[in-house]
Order: sequence, then C-alpha cells, then structure tokens
Amino acid sequence: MGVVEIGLIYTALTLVLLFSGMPIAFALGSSAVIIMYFFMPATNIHLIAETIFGELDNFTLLTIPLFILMGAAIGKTRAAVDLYESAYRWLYRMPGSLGVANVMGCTIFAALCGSSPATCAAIGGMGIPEMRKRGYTGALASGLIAAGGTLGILIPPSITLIIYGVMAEQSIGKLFVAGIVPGFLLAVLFSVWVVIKYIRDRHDWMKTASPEEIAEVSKKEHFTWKEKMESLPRLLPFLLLIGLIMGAMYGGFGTPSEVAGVGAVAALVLVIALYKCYQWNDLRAIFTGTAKESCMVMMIIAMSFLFTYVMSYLRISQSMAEWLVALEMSKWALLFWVNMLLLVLGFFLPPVAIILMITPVILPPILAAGFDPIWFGIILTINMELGLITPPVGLNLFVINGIAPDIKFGEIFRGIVPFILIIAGYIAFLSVFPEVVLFLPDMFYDY
Amino acid sequence: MNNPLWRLFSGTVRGVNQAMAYLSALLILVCSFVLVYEVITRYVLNISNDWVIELSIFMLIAATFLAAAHTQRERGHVGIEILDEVMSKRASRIRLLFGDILSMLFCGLVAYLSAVYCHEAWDQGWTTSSTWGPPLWIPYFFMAFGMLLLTLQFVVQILEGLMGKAPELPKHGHATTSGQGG
Amino acid sequence: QTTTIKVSHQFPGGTEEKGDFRDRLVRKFAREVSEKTNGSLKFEIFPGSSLVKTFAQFGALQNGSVDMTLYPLAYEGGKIPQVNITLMPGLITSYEQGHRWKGQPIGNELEKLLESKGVKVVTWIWQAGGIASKKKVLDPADVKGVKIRGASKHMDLMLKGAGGSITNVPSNEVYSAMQTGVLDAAVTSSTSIISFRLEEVGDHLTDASQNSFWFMFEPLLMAKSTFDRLTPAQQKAVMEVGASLEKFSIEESKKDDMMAAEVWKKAGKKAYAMDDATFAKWRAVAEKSAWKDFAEEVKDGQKWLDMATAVK
Ligand code: NA
Ligand code: NA
Repeated sequence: MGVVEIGLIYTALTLVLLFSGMPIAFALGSSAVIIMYFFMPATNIHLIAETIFGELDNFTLLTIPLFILMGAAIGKTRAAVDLYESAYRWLYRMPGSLGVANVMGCTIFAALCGSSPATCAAIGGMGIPEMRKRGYTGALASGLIAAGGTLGILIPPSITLIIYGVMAEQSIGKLFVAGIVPGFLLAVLFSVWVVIKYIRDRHDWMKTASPEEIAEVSKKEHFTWKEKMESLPRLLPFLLLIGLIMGAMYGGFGTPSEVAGVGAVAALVLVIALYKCYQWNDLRAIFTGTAKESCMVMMIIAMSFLFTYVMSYLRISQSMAEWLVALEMSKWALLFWVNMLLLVLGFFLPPVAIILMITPVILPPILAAGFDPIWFGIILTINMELGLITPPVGLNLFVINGIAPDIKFGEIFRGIVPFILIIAGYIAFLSVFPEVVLFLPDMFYDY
Repeated sequence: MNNPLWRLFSGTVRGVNQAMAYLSALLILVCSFVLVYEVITRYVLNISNDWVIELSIFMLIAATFLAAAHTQRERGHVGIEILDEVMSKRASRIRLLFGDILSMLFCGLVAYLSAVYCHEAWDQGWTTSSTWGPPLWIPYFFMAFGMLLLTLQFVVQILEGLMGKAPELPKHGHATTSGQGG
Repeated sequence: QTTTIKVSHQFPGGTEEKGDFRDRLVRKFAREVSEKTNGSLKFEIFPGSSLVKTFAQFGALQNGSVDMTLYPLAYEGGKIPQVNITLMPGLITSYEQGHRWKGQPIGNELEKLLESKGVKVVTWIWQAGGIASKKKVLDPADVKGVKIRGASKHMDLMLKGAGGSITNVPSNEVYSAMQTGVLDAAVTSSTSIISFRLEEVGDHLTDASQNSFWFMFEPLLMAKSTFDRLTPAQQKAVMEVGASLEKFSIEESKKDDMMAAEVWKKAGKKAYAMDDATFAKWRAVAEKSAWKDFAEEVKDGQKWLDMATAVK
C-alpha cells in the first residue's frame, strides 16, 4: 500500500477515535499503535516507551508545569478582581469603561498565566456578573471575556508558544518577546470594539427602557484620586512579577525553565503573603489543579509524539509537506490554505494537539515559501486563539458556560462573532505587516 | 456495586490515585525550588550544579505520570464531546464505553512496555550519560507505575459503566486552573 | 526487488553539495551505494532528528526500526560505559591517529563490542572541537570558576578537574545559555560552533586548527540485522563506499576547524590555536581525572586506555 492510502487510513482512524469522545491523548496514542501494528515492523512497538521518554526528556517542556503552577496560584486569589477593579477606577468616566477594564484585566492576567481558559475563568468569574449588573448584554459580556481570555496564549508566558518552539526548534525567549506587541495590540482592538458596541447597545436600550431603569444605570459613580491611588499598591507586586518574567526572558538571568521556576515560587510567595492564601483548602486547590492540568497537557504532548513518529516513519508528513511545496502555490495562497486548515482543526481540537500534529507538515512549506518561523509561530498562536472561541468545541466557550450558565449558547455566539472577525482580520493585518511581530524580537535578539 | 471486594478494589484505586496526585504536585513544587536554588547559587556563589537539569526533568516526568489516573477519574483528560449532543444517551454510553476500553488497552500496553524497559535498565545498570549519571530505570519506573494506575482507573470506570452507574460527565470551567491545553 | 534503508541523523538537512558535512556525507553515501547496487538499495534520509529523537537513534538502530544513523557514540556512555573512550579528553592527538584505530586492537575491540550490541560501523568519522567562551579559556588554569559544558561525561570530569563548574545544557540550548549567562563557555565540535553561531554570544574561541583535546567519534552505523539481510554484493558496496568516505570526512572536518576560527575572527572575536605544550597540560589534567575515572569505573577500562594509547 502506498503512502497516500496509509495516510488516508491513518487520518480516518484518528478522526473516528477523536470523535469517539476518548481523551485526545489516548486517541492519538491508540491510532498510532494500531497503524504501527499493521503497517510497521513489529520492533517499533518496543520503541514506544523509549519514544515517550525521549520526547519528555526535554529541557524546554519543563517550563510547562511550572508556568501552570504560576497561573494556578494567581488564579486562586482575588488578584484577578483587583486587576480589573483597579483598571475600572482609572477608566470609569469613559463609556464602556467596565468592559475595557475587563479586557485590561485579561491582558494583565495573560502576562501571568500561560493558558487561555484559565485567563477566561479568572477574569470572567467576577467580570461577567458585574458587567451584566451594569447594563451590558449577556452577549457582549460573555463574548468579550471569551475573546479576552484568548490573550492568555498570545501574551507571554504561553504554553502554545512553548510547544511550537519545541516543535519548530525556535528559541522560546524569542517567541515570547514576539508575542508581546501583537498581544497588547489585539487587546486594544478588543477594547475599541467593546466601546463601540457598548455605545450602540446603550443607544438601543435607552429607547425601550423605563425612566427608572435609566436612572438606575446612569447613577453617577465617582472615584476620587485617593481611591484610584489606593488600588495601585495591590497591583504593584503583579506588575513587578510580570516585569521579572519578561525581563528574565530577554537576555535575562536564566534558561526558560529557571525563569518559570522562579516565577512559580514568586507567585506562590505573593499569593500567600499578600492574599493570605495559606489555608490547606486553598493550597490544595492550587496544587491538585496544577498536577491535573499539567498532567493533561503533558500526556497530550507525550502521545502526540507517538502519533507524529508514525507519520514520519511512514513518510506521511514528509510526503504531505513535499506535496504542498510541489503545488507551487503563491506564498499568499499557501498561507491562506494553511490558515483555513488551522481554522477547521480549531473547530474541534485544542491548541496543544493541533500544533503537535500539524507543525511537521506545514512548517517546511511555510519556511520554503520564505516566511519567518518566529512570525509564523505568532500567526499560528492567533489561529489557536480563534479555535478556542469557535464552536462546536471551544474551550473558552465551555468556561463561559461554567461561569454564567444562564447565558444561552446562541447569545454567547452572537457576542463572539465580532471578535472572531476581528481576530481573522488581525491575522491578515499581521501577514501584510510582519514587522509588527518581528521588530521587538529583532531588537533583542540579533540573530 | 455493593460487593465488598469491588468496594475494596475501587476504594483502594481511588485512594492511591489521590495520594499520587498529591505526590505529583509536591514534585512540581520541589522542582520549582530546585530551579530557584540553581539561579541563586549561580548568582551568589558563581557555580552551577551538574544535576539540576536531569533531576528536574526526572521529577516532572514522574509528576506527569503519577497524576494521570487521578486526572482520569475526574475526566480531566480533555476529549472531543460534540457527539454527546447528537447521539442518544444509550448510544453515547456505548460509544464512551468503547473509548474507555480502547484507552485501557492502550495504557496497559504502555505500562507493560515501560515496565519491560525499566527492568532492562535496572538489569543492565543503565544510567544517563552525564557526570551525575542517575539510573535510567527511575523515570521508566514512574512511567510504568503511573500508566498501570491509569489502566486500573479505566478498569474501575468501565466496570462502573457496565454496572449502570451514570458516567461522570466532564466538568467544564469548574476551576480557575482548568487550562485544558489552551 | 528494492530494499529501503532508513537513515536518521540529528544534523541539519541540506543537499549533497551544500550544508552540514555530516548530512552531505550521508547523502553521498546513499547515492553512491544506490548506484553501485543498480538501485536495489534505496535510501530515505531523515535529517534533524525528524524521525527519531537524537538520543533515541541508537536504540532504534539496535532494534532495527532505523537502518542507519550517523551518531556520536559517546551518547551511549550511560548504557555501554566502554564507548566513553570515544570522547575521552586528550586521548586522540590528531585525525590521522584517530583513524589509525581502525584495524588496531582498540578499533577491533570497539567494532566487536558494537557488533555484540547489534550495530555495525560503516564509516569511521572523527571530529575535533573547540572552546567557545566569554573569557579566554586556552590553558587548563583558565577554566577555574568558569561555568562550562563539555558535551560528555569524561569531558566534564576533566573540566571539573581543572576547576570548572559544570552544567548539562543540551547542545541546541548552548546559544541561549551563553546569552543569558547560564554558561560562560562551551566545548563542542567545530561544525556546531559554526552552525550555532556561537561567535554572536562568545568573545574567545580556542580553535581546533592545531591541537584539540576534544575528538569525538561519530561513525556512520548500520543495524546488524539490516546488514545481514543484504546480499553479499550489497554488503560489499556498503562497506566499500563507507570506507571510501573516510577521506572526505577528514577533509571536511579539517575545513570546519579552520572555518570556525575564520568566522570568529571575521566577527571581530579572538581565536587561538592550541600549541603542543598547552595540549600536554590538558592531557595531564585529563589523565588524573577523566582517564582515572574510566580506568576505575569501567570494566577493562585500563586495558582499553592502553590499547588506545598504543596507537601512534
Ligand atoms: Na500568557
Ligand atoms: Na473551536
């Protein structure tokens, strides 16, 4: 049987197992073993344990559990609420300020946490009820938290970028630095949309609302300078922690794993000292949550490597990559189709699995077309952000559903569509202006 | 379900898995401190330690596999669940049962192969090739042990399913830490 | 009837004319053997550890899931302690002397040992290396208090013996480790010094143009199970082409030794050649640390060392 036939069988088998509802890690592992059994020499089966160990025996993957611990520690405290309340006190005069404060909360939390659903949950837990109380529609409130949460994987630290870095053999530090500007810029775009949408919603609402309701909502809130300043000291430690991590990442004091280890310990010290989070129950939630989540991510990583080993052994990934190169598409057509592929995969799969499965296939043609690997890492990550908020499987959407079960799915979807369009447009923008991504890493890394 | 042997078995599996999850968390915490220690000795004493990287990697491999069964008990290994909405309850149960059985077989195979390798590494006295040179059977032991617990956890869940206990559905967004691979 | 041979290595992939010479050697080998056997042997090359991860290549070779690999043998030092002799500081004095192992008792013992592990040496390849560092590390005395990696257990033991501070940074992390100050210096092959662009993060290079205490055995290997499956004519072609490429490997290694020094000088950095007296000093340190450990810890260690030093 030829590469094409085996490739099709492998793809079909994998899809069936994935959609069976099996854990993704074991679905990928099982389909790899089944294909191994039928199409590869039996000796390969005996390599399974060594392959898994060989892949996990990696200095860079070490960072993942440590960044998860850091995010879990901070996520357990009131820190997230403090973040957005402080932002709100400074912004309150502006229309849509509460929404913008929530986006800012997501942005800052994203800089302390490597995953998107965690960012979503941390800010949305307080943010969504608060916004709805003050007249935001369920659609806008949930859409903006779902989208704001995706900043978690674009703004460093980011598990997605770490895994891409391992797969593409790119410097994690450089990828992290590259995520900063696009991350903050995307946060600005989200904020602009929130303000526009808030003003329009309010305009419509005024026409139908009763005078009492209008009076209630337009009750003037006021924060004195004292109140504004008071909110800052609580923020300061987190800003210092962000500074520490970002500073350490470029030309700083250590390897990415050391930075992650220091970040995790610093975050723990912070939440224990500042938020008095030292009760056994709190700590237990932080630690078991960390163990569980890093286990889940690391398992997907370990088993995906088995999956790609089989793809590579049977030359499926190489043939697909060669086929893509041989099509001689223009570089923009190639990029378009790669984005489409990522979009479709993103409907169903979480970022970790997509990156591990697809990088060996799409990276060679992307590099052959002359695209920059660091820039592509960022484009890929933004694509993954889309996947987190597109139905039917969008991890951030599930988080929103957990926080605010009374918001109907249709409403969340209506709220999320504009953000999907913004992100799609943003990918196009960064494709035309790659300098936006690259100028900062180029400044700090002269290679 | 009320068979005392069954209760003993499932209770033991549950207890061991919970304990291993704590141990896993402890390893991640210790690993963070080891890395902090490395940074401090480097900056204060200007020395580096030839054991830090290998020790950290070993600890995190152990942490990953030790927590696997507990994570599975809480259905924390993320999967694609859209067919839940489309298929009938009964059909879905059969589908999930099929998935659990295949997962069990796969994890059992990995546990067995890791154990074989662990034995070989022990028998031959294999170490890593560094000056510190820790024995190689250690990570393989944790792989084998963790995957064995995970296999047993699947056995418990399959039997529970067959005995008519409603499957515990995955909980979404239940904790601030549920990163779900994002 | 064509047989497909899967070749895996960890180096960057290129073409037969351009790129890392180890990848070029593999491609040359594949073409020439394929021609000699009238296409009855077909080669699939997986560069950059794209099939099996770097350290898993030897295991894959042993159980036959990979047919060939070009592999730094000392990576297996944890499993086959004797192979540590193939990256022993100060033991090899020149490419020519290293290649004279072949056919001598030391070479025969090594090939016999590898055959007992299911692996056959097809091409003997030695590669020298230098020290890329932030401050000058030429003499053993310079290494005191320097955070350094030596790329193998016994290199590390010697550097430790000279007062260095050891970190096990994997080779692909050396650049960022030097950039962030995790490492002050790294010893690695001239080819890696060039391809990792260490001149951007280091200021001083002790090059291998004259002497080097760092010679690494990095042979082209074939799984014995694969070799035994070949017809006698095919076996002959494999071994002949393999042996014929040894000259190419020496030429290219020497070119890289020179080029590393040139690249550093061109980047405005310092490069030093090591004179015989300095080499002797390193060798003295090595004998007291690394060689001693090998003699004591490895079965027949002293015998292996004696056989190696008997080669002039
Ligand atoms: Na982040
Ligand atoms: Na999706």
